Amino acid sequence: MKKTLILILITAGLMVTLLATINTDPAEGTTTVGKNMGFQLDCNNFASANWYWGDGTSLLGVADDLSWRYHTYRNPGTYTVHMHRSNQYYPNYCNGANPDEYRTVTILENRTISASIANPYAGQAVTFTATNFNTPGNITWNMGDGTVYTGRGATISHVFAKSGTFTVRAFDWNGDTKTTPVSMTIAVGEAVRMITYAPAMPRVDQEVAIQAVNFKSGSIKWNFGDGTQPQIYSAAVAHRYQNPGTFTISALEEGLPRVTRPINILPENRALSVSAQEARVDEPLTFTALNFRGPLVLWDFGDGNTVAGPITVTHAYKAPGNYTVTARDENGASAKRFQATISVLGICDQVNVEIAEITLDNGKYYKVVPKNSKAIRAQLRMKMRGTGIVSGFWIVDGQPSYFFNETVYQGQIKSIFTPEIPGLPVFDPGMHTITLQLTRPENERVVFPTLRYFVLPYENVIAVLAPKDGAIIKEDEVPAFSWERALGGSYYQIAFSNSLFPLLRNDADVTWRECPERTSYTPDAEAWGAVQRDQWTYWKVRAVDSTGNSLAESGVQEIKIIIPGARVGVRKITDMDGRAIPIGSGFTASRAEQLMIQGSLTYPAAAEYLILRVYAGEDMVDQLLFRDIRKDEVRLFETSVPNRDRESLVTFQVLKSSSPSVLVGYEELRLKKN
Amino acid sequence: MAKILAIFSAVLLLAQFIPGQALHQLNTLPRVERLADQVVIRITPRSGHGPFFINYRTEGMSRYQVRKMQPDDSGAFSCRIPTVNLYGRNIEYFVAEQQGGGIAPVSLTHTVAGFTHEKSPEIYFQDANTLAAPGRKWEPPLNVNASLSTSTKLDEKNDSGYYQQNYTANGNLRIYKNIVKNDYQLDFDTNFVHIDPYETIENRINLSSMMVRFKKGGLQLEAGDVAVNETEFTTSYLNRRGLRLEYAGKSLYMNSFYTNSQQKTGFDGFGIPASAAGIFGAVAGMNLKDTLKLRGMFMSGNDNLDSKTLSYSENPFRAGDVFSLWGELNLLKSRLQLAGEFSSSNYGAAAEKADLQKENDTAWRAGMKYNQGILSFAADYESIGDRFNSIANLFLQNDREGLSTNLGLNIKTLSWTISYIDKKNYLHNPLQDMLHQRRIGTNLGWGLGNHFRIGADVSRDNLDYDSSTGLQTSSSDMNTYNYSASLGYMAGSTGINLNVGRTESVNFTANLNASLGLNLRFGSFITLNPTLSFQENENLCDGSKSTIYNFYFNSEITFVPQYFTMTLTSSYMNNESPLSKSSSWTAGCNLNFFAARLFKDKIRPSLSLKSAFQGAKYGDVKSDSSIFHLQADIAF
Repeated sequence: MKKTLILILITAGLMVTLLATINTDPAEGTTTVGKNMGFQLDCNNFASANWYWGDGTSLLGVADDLSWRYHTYRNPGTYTVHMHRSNQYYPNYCNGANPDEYRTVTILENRTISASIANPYAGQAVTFTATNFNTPGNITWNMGDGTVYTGRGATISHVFAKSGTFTVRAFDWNGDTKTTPVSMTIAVGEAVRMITYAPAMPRVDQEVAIQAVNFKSGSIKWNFGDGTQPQIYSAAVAHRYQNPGTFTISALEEGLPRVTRPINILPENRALSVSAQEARVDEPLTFTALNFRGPLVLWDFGDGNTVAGPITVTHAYKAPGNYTVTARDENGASAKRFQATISVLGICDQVNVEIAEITLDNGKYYKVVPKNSKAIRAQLRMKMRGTGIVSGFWIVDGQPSYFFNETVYQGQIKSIFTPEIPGLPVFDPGMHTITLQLTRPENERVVFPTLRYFVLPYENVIAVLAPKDGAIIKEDEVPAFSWERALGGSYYQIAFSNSLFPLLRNDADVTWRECPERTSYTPDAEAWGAVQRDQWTYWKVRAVDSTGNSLAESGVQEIKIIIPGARVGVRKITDMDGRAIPIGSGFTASRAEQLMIQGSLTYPAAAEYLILRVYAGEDMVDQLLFRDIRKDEVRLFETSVPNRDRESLVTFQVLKSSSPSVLVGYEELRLKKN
Repeated sequence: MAKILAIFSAVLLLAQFIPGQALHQLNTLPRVERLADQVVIRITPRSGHGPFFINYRTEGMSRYQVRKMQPDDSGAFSCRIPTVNLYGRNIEYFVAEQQGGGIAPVSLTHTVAGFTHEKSPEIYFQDANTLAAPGRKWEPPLNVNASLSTSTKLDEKNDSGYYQQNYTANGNLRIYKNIVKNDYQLDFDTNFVHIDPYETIENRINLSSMMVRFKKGGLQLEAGDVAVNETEFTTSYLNRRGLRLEYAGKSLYMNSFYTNSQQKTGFDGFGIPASAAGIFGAVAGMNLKDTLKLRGMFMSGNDNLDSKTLSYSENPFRAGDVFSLWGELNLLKSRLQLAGEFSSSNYGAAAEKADLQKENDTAWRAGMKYNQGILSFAADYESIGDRFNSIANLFLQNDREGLSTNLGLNIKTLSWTISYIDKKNYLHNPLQDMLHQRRIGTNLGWGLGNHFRIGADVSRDNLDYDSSTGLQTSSSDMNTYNYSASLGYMAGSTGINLNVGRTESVNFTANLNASLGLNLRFGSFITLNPTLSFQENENLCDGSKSTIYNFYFNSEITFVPQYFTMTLTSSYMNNESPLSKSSSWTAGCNLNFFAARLFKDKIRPSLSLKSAFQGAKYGDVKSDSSIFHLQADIAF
């Protein structure tokens, strides 16, 4: 019994052991789409077998042995694998007489598709990505809106033209639409008008491509928000911002709300680098366009040579002078000019303005002058390097008015004034401006400031009271110069000149004397002595403010200071037959009816003319003219005088003929008739 | 009829020979012989007559001079009348004969016309009446002058898209007071300006000038716009806002100042100048009568070239100290003047303030001037180190050494100068080779009469690299020739100025320029100020030429004096060069009404209707504009 029981147990144990099963790899019978799964029956009978994979495919006529059979499922799901033996003579230990073996396997889905935008708007591009697909290079995409893309890759961009909910399906396995697609549902909203731009982080002066998306019309009024004039363009525009900062782009189409979008413009990072600021002729210089976007840079070397080249170039100048090098990015497409100044040393007639100043004649940038005043001029002072020509023109009230052309020499400080003839315009009251532009040196880019002068709506002329214009004054009769007050005059100054020009032009070397009495001036001995004698002297008075600026002037007056002291000497008196008559101390007595007087005339200064008038009593009996008298020169004369009365007086008057005439000498002779 | 005419003619003919009184006719007419400086009158009477006398008179005389005629061997009588001292150009004379106890005319009165070609001066006497100076009027405690100019734009059209402001508002307010009492003087003077439109570097309201001055004898304290002018090496025409204290005694001189280094705008610079752009200086010196003048100066300051009036390519940040000694010695009654200066500076300039480094250097000069009558001579030698600089003189040219001389001749209105310069530049410049400059030139100015002046200028300048450096050959010389001539005329309000000049830098450029400026006034009704300019530059390297010519015209036509005027302004400029061609024109017409007389000059209003037109053409691009303003001005 014991033995029987043991046998039964062994038999049962063998029977249990001999029940056939289908093993899977992976053992749990679960895998993902596209992955191979292995199948093996753990009992063989060396007959042929057919494998039915449960997905409609099979493997027929393979040996029924312990070999692993593999199958790849293209769709997810639960499949029952069926193996059928063709040979019925199989050992009992292999499941007895049952020729069929079954195994359930589970195929999981690991493929996905995703959208770049979860809730896109109609018209918005959406990128779909297929993940874990088995033929990622050949996928059929059905976008659900009627659009089918075949033979596409794992990534695809699509624009849904309309709003709605769409199921996007992606067919794996070389786009086999018989396989179960991987799908997703996407809700596409209504189209939104928007502005897009590229690049995402533009810099100053970089071209930005701006797009109006979903706009209804092609005529859009663009405002780039940087102060440039709004313009109407199409939906795609390009713009360059010239300043850094955040700006608001706005696009407006008629009848619809304005669409805006901020844009941040990064600061300029481009620059121009030069290996040296100064060089000699034929010395190569290296120019580098730092951070230029390129690929080509438009170079202008300022000497007539222009080249579209790389960001680093070398150039040598052939002549001395100052040159401005200009580099423009993007082969000149960029409007911004990067410049550097190069000084090429050597002898040349191009001068270099190192420093220049323009001022009005009061040394300032502003002045107030009365109408028709001549006391207004502008001055340019320059410190130059080199010898050459400087030319340009003054611009008055925006009009090119007075040209100048001056030769300046090495080391010379050059001053150029606006001309006296004609002076600056002072007819119209109100504010006037004056500035300057150089036309040579040609390479100089000197920008001068604008000066202003204000013309009052009235003339301010000092009326002279004394002495009268054209007065002849004896030097020992010092006159008082007097005039009327001028509006605004703080102090008064008077100037004398031997020539008309210095006073008319207000020359700098004119000596202006202070007038403490303000409206009158009596020259002291030094001042009076400084005025030239016996020639016309011109004088003018001006009113000044506390800083010495001229506010009003008189007209130029003229006076002549003459020296009295002409002497007349009677050298000899005769009758008409030449017989001498003694000259008495009191009277000269003679019987003759007519006397001849020989005399002399001397003058203590040089004179152009002297007139000698001879009077017998009240009657002028002779008038003699002496020309070109030298100082203390003795000039002789002869005259006849009547001697008819018992006693008579002969007088000699010497006139300084100075238009008008002035008496400068006097002498008497008393006659008695015997 | 013929008989009547014959009788009438006979009567007229007879009347020619009948003097006012009965004459004893000479048998021959006096013969007049003109000799140098004398006239000889000769008669040949019948024998038995005489003696004869010539009675003559010159222009303007009623009485006659009497001379006895002298007989000669031929029986003729003659008289020599010296004409050198006779007035006028004609002599009236007749011959008289002594007859019995009296003298009677025996000839008609004849005239010797034109005995001389020389003109005699007119003789008249001046009016002795003169006007007296006005008495002292009452003065307000504070004087105020104000002026305002405002305009509104009526219309504007232009192609550029840039429009002028619709209005302008400019005005001045001057408040001042000047008190002079005994030897005290107190000045207060300010001018406020309102400017609109104004530029970014300007302010709307500016204190354009200010002066507060106290003066007693030789002592003077100033605050405001002060002027300092000492020497070229130190301060040359420094006119800036600041403070100044000066004492100018007979033998002692002291001066100190603290000013801005640059011209400021608005209210900037008044008060105590900022230390970052201020200059302090002190001068002390002595005078020994008029013979010797000695001065010493110390100056220190900073600068940043922040100025309304400057354009520069130099480093803006400057700082420096200067010590200077100079003097003048007048000898030979001031005919000879010797002068000299020695300066030492510690100066630096840089693009950034932090980079500023000062360096020491010196400069000196010595010169003499000599005047003797019509001749004058001056010579100066200077040596300025390359690192020498003055903080108060932007225009000082350093790094140079050399001689300059000039010889002058002055005879009345003739001025003739010959000058010669021999200087070396860039003696120590590491970048620039030494340049040697030699220039000789002559200048002539001559006043012809009271109204004309002619001028001429000729010079030759030679610039080359100094041979001692061995860096360049003489072929690198540059000779610059300059020729110019001018003619000026001035008479009252009328003036003419004509200039013609040519400059030729051999091998480089030839330049021809001419300008004509006129200031013509026709009575009180029309004033015309036209200017014509022409410039031609020829590039001698490539033969290209560029020309500029310009016309500018500014005039005033007075319809009603002191009330109603019209001003016209126009300009035209044409610029042609091988690379470009441009032209521009402007025209303006303003109608002005002045109403000061209506208010007896208490206030001075005016109203102007202004128009301006502009056009320009650059290549093929044209632009035009026009603008109209109505402007009102008032001043009191």
